[in-house]
Amino acid sequence: MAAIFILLVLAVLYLPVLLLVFLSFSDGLQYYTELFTNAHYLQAIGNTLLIAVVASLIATIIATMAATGIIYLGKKSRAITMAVNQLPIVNADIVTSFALVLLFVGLGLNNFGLLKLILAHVLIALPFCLLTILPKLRQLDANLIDAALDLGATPMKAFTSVIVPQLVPAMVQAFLLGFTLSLDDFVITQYNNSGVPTIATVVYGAISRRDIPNAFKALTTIILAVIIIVLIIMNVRMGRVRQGKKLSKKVVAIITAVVILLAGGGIVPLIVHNLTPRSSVLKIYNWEDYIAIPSDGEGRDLVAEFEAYYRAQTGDKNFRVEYHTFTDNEELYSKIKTQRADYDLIFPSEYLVEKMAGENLLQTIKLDQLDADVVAGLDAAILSRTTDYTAVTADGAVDPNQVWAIPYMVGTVGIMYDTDVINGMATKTGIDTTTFEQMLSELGFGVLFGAKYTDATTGTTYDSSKFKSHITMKKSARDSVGIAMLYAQAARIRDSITAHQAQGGTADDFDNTELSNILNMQDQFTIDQARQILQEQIRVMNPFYENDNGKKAFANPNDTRFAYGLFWSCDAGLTMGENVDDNDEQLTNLKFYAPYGTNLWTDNFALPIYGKNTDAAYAFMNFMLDADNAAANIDYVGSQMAVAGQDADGNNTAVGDLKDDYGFDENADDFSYDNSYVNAVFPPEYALTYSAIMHNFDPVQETAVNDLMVSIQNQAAQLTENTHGSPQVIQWVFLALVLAGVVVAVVYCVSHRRPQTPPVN
Amino acid sequence: MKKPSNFNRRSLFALPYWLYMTVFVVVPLLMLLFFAFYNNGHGFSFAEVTKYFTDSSQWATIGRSLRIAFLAAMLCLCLGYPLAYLIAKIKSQKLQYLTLMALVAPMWINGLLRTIALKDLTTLLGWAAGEDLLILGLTIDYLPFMIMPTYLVITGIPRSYLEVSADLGAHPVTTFFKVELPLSMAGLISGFLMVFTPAVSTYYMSEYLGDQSTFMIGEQLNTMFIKDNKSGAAVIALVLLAIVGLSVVLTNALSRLGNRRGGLY
Repeated sequence: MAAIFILLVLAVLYLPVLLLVFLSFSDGLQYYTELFTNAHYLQAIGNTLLIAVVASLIATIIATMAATGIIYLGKKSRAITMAVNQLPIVNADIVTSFALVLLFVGLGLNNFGLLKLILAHVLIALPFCLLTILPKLRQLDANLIDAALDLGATPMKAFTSVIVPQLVPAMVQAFLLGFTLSLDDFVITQYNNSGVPTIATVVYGAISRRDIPNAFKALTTIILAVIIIVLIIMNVRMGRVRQGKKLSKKVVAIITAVVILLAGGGIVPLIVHNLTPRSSVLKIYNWEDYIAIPSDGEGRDLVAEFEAYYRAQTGDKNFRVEYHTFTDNEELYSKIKTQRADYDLIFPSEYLVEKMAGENLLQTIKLDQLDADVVAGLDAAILSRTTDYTAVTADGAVDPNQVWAIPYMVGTVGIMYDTDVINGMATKTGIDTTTFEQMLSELGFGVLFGAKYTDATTGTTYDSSKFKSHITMKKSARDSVGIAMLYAQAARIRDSITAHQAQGGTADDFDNTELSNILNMQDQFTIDQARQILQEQIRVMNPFYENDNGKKAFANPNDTRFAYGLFWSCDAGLTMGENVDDNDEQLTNLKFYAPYGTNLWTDNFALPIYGKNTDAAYAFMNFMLDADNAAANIDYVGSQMAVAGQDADGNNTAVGDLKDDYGFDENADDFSYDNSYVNAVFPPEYALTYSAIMHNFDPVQETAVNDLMVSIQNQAAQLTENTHGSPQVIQWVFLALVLAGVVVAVVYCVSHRRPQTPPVN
Repeated sequence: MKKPSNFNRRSLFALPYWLYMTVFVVVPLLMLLFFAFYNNGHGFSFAEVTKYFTDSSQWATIGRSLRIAFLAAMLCLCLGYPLAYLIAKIKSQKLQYLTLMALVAPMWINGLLRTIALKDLTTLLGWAAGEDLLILGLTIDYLPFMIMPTYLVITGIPRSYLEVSADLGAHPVTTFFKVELPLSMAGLISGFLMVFTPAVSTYYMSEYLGDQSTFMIGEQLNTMFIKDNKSGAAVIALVLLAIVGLSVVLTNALSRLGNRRGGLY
């Protein structure tokens, strides 16, 4: 029975891992080939191993020395040392990580990515190493050291030739423990990472847009295989030990060999890495999964293609692209601002371009350094919307020859909805998809806040709050607060748009100033108003706040929790594009609509001042803005680039063709499936006209807005909790009691099987 | 020749360790304190601290984090103690080590990767994310931290104690409650703490395994950190430190109480 219990727990522990193992074979050995051919993944694995081996080696050595020293300490100083040793063990790892960030920023360890991570990982291992070694050392005969010293050995000599050899088993144990903890860590690595990819950070980046990279499923299988091999070796080895042979030099030799091999696995790529001159490396820092590097090996890999192209063009055979990714504008900002990372090309959002240009962190992009064709092929409609943050002004005049940034991706904020879920709820809500689409075009973002819509012909009133608990909102403060502000002024926005349309106004002559002012109001009154609206929204709509989970929920046909939600058009484009059934047939239940007067966002090419290979950066921009390459990239990312669909003669470019391929029909309305998909990928004309860009907030207001969002999440959690009610607590306490009962029973059974001495009468 | 001073020069072997711990443990914690009151560069004040403690919704988040972490730690205890006990009672030493290795080995696969795998598995089984799943995830992830110290303490109990107890006519159950359980209290408590403190501060687990209603204090710190609000994050970090400190003090007091009552007899 005991064995069954142990096996059961082991099964639960291994089940999730086994799922990955199972999935790793879903495409034959394809994922394995991918793992061993993707340089980015290999580098991450190498770094992870290197950090784990070096950090736990350092920790083991320091801990062994420390243990030797500590046994000579007085009682009081020993107690203090052990208490400090206990600190990182009991301290929450997120606190340790954050405190380390403050330290590294304070020390100015800017460009020492790998060193920082190794130093931080020593901290993960060190306290545990000391706790492993110290008790073993206490068991040693103290006289041995004294004897060595009396015989004339120096303390160092006594340490290396008397203490260390006897401690080898404990040191190996300490090393393995440190190694294990280092491999397991995510938080400390993520917090202190300045552009060094490791297994954890690559996985984290990937899941923010899609899923665990397939290659990492293969990696999991390999690690599991290694674990099994290690267990078998241990089994055999310990068998020998039992036969009376001591833990021999052979074992030590094998372990040393494994360690060297592991470290080599990390060091070799590192050396290769540092041998390439900087002029042969282009360092790019882009959003995760925001360029065509297909993880399944199908389709064009634009970064690899660029490498080949640039090698051929310059004749530099060693040229390569070092491509790193981030998941948040703030991450990018702090990497350049605080850590002064020497990236050549970065992709900040519009407000960050403003902020960085204002802080002299950007070089301007000289337009004459780009191919004339490329500059001519940029989409004028998009450029006309972005000049207020890209224009370089000197003495009040705009310089036509240079810009702070060129738009890379352009999109809107809108509502993605699931027609299956809406129809499924129709009996309860009285709102079917057609009605919902009418509401959407009439109410815009109002459907997120419980606004009502009255059908003019029938007089029926439809209430969007019927969708309570079935909608999603963004955790991101700028988006949620921005949309709340737009909703607060919805009437004003609608009036100005209707007036413009009534006058037969065209796209070019709409004055966005008012709309822009509304979206960028940052006074305390507006923030308080936004707070009230968002609080009221919690009560009326009980939205689910997410940043990435929403996409997955909408993509999963079995997950019918959400009818609609607030989405960036690029996420909607991605989710809709990948929304296929088991036979790879496109499903049409997901649609996207960007309301009139929405927020227009961009992510941009920009050159940070610390970059060292500007030539290659320009070449890369040329390459990406070529219409054919851009079309491939748009198709992969699911978002529009600032490349025009028609050339000067009015003929379709590859980008224009792509739009037609997607089935865009000018005569159909925005709610036909094909048009709604195209509108998610390519911001529609009306959205380019009736929209505003959200500018950079001043620091005080930015903090206020961020604090507001944390507070909103606290309140949303409280509310959901209250609707769940307290049974959850009781349920778990009950379970704990039941388990405690099982414990007693198990212990009773086991102890009963032990041979007993007959009781004495 | 020994110096009259009671400071032994051989203890200088610990110098690199002290240096490291001072720079990487003590100094950063002091910096936390500094940043909490530094108010993001606007001079020293209690503004951030006041802001935190006057927002009543913060208390709910603290309470929720404590509750979730407590339940996870309790589950770990209920599962981990019998497991450690059973492993310690396995006859073959070899099998003991192998079982322990097998329990710890999944950690070679990164914690984040395993969390996502668990999420994928439960999604497949149709189990929605939420508090239940979060507690299960925490329990699975931190179980080794419960088992290790408990196992070490249980195997450290001299066999003779158990034999004496049996010789004196105690029933094995009595022996367990009177001898083994009290003597393994220390391991149990350090195990409990080693599960409780990471659980109370988790952020990626609650993000992936939890839902709306499991917004935890770690997630809050993470949001502040990402948004570069260092002072706000420092205040939350201090709150977490206080929680950890309090739980250490509480559990120590509890174990002392237990020892007085339990003891050998």
